[in-house]
Amino acid sequence: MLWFYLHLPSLLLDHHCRDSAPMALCTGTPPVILQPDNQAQKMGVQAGQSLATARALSPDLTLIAFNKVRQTELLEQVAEKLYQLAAPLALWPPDGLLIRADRLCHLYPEPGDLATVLMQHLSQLGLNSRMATGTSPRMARLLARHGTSVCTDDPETMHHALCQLPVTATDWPQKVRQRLTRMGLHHLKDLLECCPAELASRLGPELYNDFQRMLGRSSDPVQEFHPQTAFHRSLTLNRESQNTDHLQGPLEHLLESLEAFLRQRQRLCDRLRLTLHHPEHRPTTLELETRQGESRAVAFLELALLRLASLNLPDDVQALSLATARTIAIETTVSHDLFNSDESQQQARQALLHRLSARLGRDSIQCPGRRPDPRPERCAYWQPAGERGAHAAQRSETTRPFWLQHPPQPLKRAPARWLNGPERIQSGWWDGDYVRRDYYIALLDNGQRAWLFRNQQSQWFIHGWFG
Amino acid sequence: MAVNPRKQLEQDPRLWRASQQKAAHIQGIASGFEALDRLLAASGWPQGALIECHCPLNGIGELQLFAHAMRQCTHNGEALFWVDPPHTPYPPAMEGLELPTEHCFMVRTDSHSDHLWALEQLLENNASGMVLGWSRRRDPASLRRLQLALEESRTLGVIVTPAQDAGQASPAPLRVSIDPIPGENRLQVTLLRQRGGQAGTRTLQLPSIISHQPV
Repeated sequence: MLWFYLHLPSLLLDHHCRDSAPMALCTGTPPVILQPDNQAQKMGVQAGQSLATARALSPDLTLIAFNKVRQTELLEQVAEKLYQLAAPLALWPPDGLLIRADRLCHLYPEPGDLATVLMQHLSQLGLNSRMATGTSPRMARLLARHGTSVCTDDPETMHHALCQLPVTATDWPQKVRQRLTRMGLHHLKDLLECCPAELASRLGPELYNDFQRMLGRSSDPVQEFHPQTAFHRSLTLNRESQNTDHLQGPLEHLLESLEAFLRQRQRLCDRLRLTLHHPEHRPTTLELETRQGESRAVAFLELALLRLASLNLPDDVQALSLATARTIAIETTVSHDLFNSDESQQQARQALLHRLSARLGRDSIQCPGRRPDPRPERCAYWQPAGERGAHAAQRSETTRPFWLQHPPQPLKRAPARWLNGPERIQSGWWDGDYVRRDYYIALLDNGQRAWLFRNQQSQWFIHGWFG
Repeated sequence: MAVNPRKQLEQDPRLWRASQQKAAHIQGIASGFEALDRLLAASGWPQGALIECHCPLNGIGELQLFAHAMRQCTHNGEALFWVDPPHTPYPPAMEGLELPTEHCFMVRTDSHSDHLWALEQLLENNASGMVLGWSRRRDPASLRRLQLALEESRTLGVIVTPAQDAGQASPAPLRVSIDPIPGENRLQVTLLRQRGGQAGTRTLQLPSIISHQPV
């Protein structure tokens, strides 16, 4: 088996490195420098220095607190990007990726080809990297971490390169390494020359097993990495702000990564959850919906900005997070024909409805529905557009008013002229809302055309207007 | 230096040129009343030009004027929007008017600014075939905005405003005032102003749809 290990020595630093100022990672209490970048190194900043020393050496040093969770997140992001190029792959936290190269020999005949492609992509991402091949995962890792850039599929060369490694290159405990060096076992090849039983007793069973795995003599199971099926990403703002205009940039960034996520998976998202985190208040959650699914960042951004514009934020926003509530597969049957105007008209209408409901609220856009009930006030209803129920279309032969007065108004003055009637509606004995009404159409003296009814108690009401 | 009188005349902003006329390409949708169609410049309600309709009361048959246009628009598969109607439209009546309910939408807004925003969005979008909006408050500046939004599209846009504002100036190219004739099932329609058509006041008598069937 051939393994390919990718070592990303300065993942967090590379991620934060944007401008020309020197930078360093710090950690611990009291904080010490964990890793300086090239510029800081040139100025004399070294790992293990106290912050005061580092600042004295480089006054404009930017310090970034080491965050393990963030580092793992970044590693996953890199893995997700490389997944398309080289799979199967596995994460090796905190700073490595392992690729099974023998399965990729159809795509990349030589390990060098794979290395070139990966190198190109990583330099686009602005990441420093070192890579090496090995016959076992641990061998590849050790070689890459030590900086021996072996890139071959010849087992002998790799084995030889491993043998040349000093004992100090391993991540065995410091004590063990010291002991081995004192015994005169400086390189791994010296260990190989020892009698196995003796070596096992000197290293202890765990390290001996590790050594065997390194040489590929005992199996080393690797957990394969698979990209996530749901999108969830958050972004901390550099500056807390209540102004929604300031949120546009970060939001765009998040939505673009969502677009890439959806495109990679050939999926669309029809419900998206955007959460605004406040320092002191409970987070504000916005649901963005599109009926038929969408993947373009521009479309989501428009909906999100409309929602934000109609929103009163209780507090400053310090972080944004975006999650897909549901994704759907792109239907391959949907044709985007030039002449298919009906389709595009539907899409344009859906886009319009979503834009309206983004600002006005979901319940503001309504469409009619029908119920099979003889009572005028129960036979029809309005529901939020989008949940189109099965509307039982009934052709009513009788004339009905366009405006329904709800609740019915008492009739104050006798109408000027009767036009039509009576029509008796008697129903509802089964659910306690019994009605028996005689309906008339009449002209009122102000010119309105009203739908009147007389109830059982001979009281007159206006129930609608003929618009 | 002598100033060319023709040049001076051409630069005069008070001069209106017939080439500025936009009504030439405006299409109309028949109102369903022949007498009214003959009076309208586009032989019907013009698309892409705001129609301001002054209506004193609801329920005097004001929708009958636009019923035919609504029917045409929905039968073409275009969407019909009612924005902030005074009462809730009653779906059985829509079936009576032969309006397919899947193309009908009602928009409710909470504030005047949202109302105008929604109208603007709807009017400038070709996805909406016809928009009927009821504005309780009317200001010429916002009507001008709506007219500009509408000019870019081929939507039929009608804004119903209170009758007492009929005396105010309006940027709408077509202004209609409707009045009931008390005691009679008829409606009086007055074209207050019409771009590209006859200016001045005309009065029309429209028959109503309810069958005369005395009790």
